[in-house]
Amino acid sequence: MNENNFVIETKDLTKQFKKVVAVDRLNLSVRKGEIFGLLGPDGAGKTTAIRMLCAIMDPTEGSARVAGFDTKKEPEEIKKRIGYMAQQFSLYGDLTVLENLTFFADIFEVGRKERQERIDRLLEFARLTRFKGRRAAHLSGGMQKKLALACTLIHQPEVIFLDEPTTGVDPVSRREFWDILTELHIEGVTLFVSTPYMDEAERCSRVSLMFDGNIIVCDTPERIKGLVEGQLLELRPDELREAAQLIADLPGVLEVQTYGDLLHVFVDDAARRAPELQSVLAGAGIVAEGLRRTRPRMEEAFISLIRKRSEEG
Amino acid sequence: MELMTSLERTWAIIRKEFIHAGRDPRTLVITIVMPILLLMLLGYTTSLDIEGVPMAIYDQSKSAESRRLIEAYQVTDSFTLNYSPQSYSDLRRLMDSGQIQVGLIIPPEYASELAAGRTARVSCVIDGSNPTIGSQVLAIVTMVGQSHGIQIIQEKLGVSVAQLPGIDARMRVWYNPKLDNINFMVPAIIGMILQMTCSALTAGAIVGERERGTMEQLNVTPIRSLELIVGKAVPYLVIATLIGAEILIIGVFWFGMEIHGSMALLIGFCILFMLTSLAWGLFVSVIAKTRQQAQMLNMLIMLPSQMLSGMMFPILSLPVVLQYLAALMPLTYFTRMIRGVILKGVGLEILWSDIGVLAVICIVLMVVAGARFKKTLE
Repeated sequence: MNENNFVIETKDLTKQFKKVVAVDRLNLSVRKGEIFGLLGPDGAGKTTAIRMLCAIMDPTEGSARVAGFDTKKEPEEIKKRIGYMAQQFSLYGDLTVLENLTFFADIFEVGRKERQERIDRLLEFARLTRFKGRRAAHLSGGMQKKLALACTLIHQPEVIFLDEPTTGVDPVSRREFWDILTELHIEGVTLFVSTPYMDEAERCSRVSLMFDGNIIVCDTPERIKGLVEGQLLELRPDELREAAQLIADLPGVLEVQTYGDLLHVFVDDAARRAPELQSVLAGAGIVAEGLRRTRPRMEEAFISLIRKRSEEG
Repeated sequence: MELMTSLERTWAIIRKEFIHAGRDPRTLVITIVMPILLLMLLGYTTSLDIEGVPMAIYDQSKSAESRRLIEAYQVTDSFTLNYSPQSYSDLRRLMDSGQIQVGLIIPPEYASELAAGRTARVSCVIDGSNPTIGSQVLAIVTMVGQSHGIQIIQEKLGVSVAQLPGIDARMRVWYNPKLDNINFMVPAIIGMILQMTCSALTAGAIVGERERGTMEQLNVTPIRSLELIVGKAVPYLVIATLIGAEILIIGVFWFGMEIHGSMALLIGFCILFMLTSLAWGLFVSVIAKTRQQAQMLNMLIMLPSQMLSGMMFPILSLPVVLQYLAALMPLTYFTRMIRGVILKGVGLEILWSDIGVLAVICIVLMVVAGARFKKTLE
């Protein structure tokens, strides 16, 4: 049924809305059991891409196969085997946690016998057992997300699509949520997660960077970070803008990024350029604290790659 | 088995809709109480019967004969005589202030003219600001006057009219012999309310899902469009049936309406019409993106529908263009069908064409809406 063990495969998947091309000839493939991250800023086309993969939106051009079925020709077969967690809360606010779960159990034809056991296990899994009688609208944001996740799992799908599952959720709940996702990963479920959070990208098996409907890069987080040219120096100057301008013109400096109070400077050789930076800044009367070599994170890599892409036009 | 799972999924939706309805008690109360209020309101206010219309007679003759004429008017239920104006200006003032709607002026020579065997003239002034009432009042004034006139002739001739040769035109009112407005109104109101309830509720239910975003989630489940539609329609069909029964019960037991035709036929008609309204609601839900849009679209059709359906105004008295428009409205056919059953007691043999048209409209709406109701987002 599936060569190469790909559960998700797209071929020039495209979606055009009147004048806007939201998804532009997307080509990606996801292996069974991966946590695949789709990274990208607002408007990159992530939600549109996920909707097409879940077969709830038709592509304008191109095709996609999920769980061995074509999204356009056999959408219902796909829907039996996948779970989808939308970006907005899309469960019934006036129904209780238990009622929501029961409803989806009914819709997915989960048998009477397994139903009770599965619901109990999911409530436990999502840390919602205590709240099962509470109306969904009265749950906190983080709990609502967990409930939404639980509802996608009721029919034990092979693949789960999550569209920005932790947006708007506090950091503690975010971490809890990812712990749950990791448990699923260990059980062998394939996860397709879109997220604007760079740190979440680190948790993925492979990450794909999306910008303006296109995929810029698709690889493991390590290799993506390695794509950024140069070595990274970090410093905290007391005059941020001046320092940035000064440094940008120096030889050997490939790129300068700001990060709050910090400057991230990509240079060709950290050992050589660090003292040079120091002296230039000192000459201009700028005090720079904490100058050190550091490893680039996804965020730096991402910004660097996007910048290059927009410069290329 | 495919059918079983299909039914199970449909049942899941039905159960969910009932839970939603139960958790929204205010809407539920309004849905059940509003028809009653509407019925009461329309039943009493749209009564076109002429009863107790205030009248004043300016008697310039002040004779025994003029007093007899006044008595003839006092005796009818149609008029109440509370004033005795003593001049034109009195009469004028009473009418201007709206205290009377019709005035009679008996000239001083009334008695002498009658005695001389000549025609005695009596003038009548009517407040024409409400033309419908005005013309009916005129008719009744004339009728009373003429019958009084006939009585006078009888006395003069010393015979009873029945003995005179001539045309004896008798009037019998078939269907609705008491010309009771209620019998006319209640069936039409039932149609109106069923239409509003069914289309508003279905449209709202489906569009509501889309607005809330839950539709997206439903689209990723194995549920079929048909199951979703039926699942949503059934609870509202049940509610609409309750309301229909409610209205019929009030109509019969409170307003004294009599059902002359077959009850089974009546129920059948109501069900057909409810399905048509539901189909219309479905159609609206496919087009409208928000609840507000759905409500607007509904209003757009409901109002003209009610005006043109023959409920208030006879269709034949409408301009031709509007008559064609009326022919497109399901309510037009239902109003005819339900009045036919309740007032005339007729059956299939007369109403089959109306039933046929309504059924066709229903099926067309269902097919069109069903085809466009896809489980994809656009």
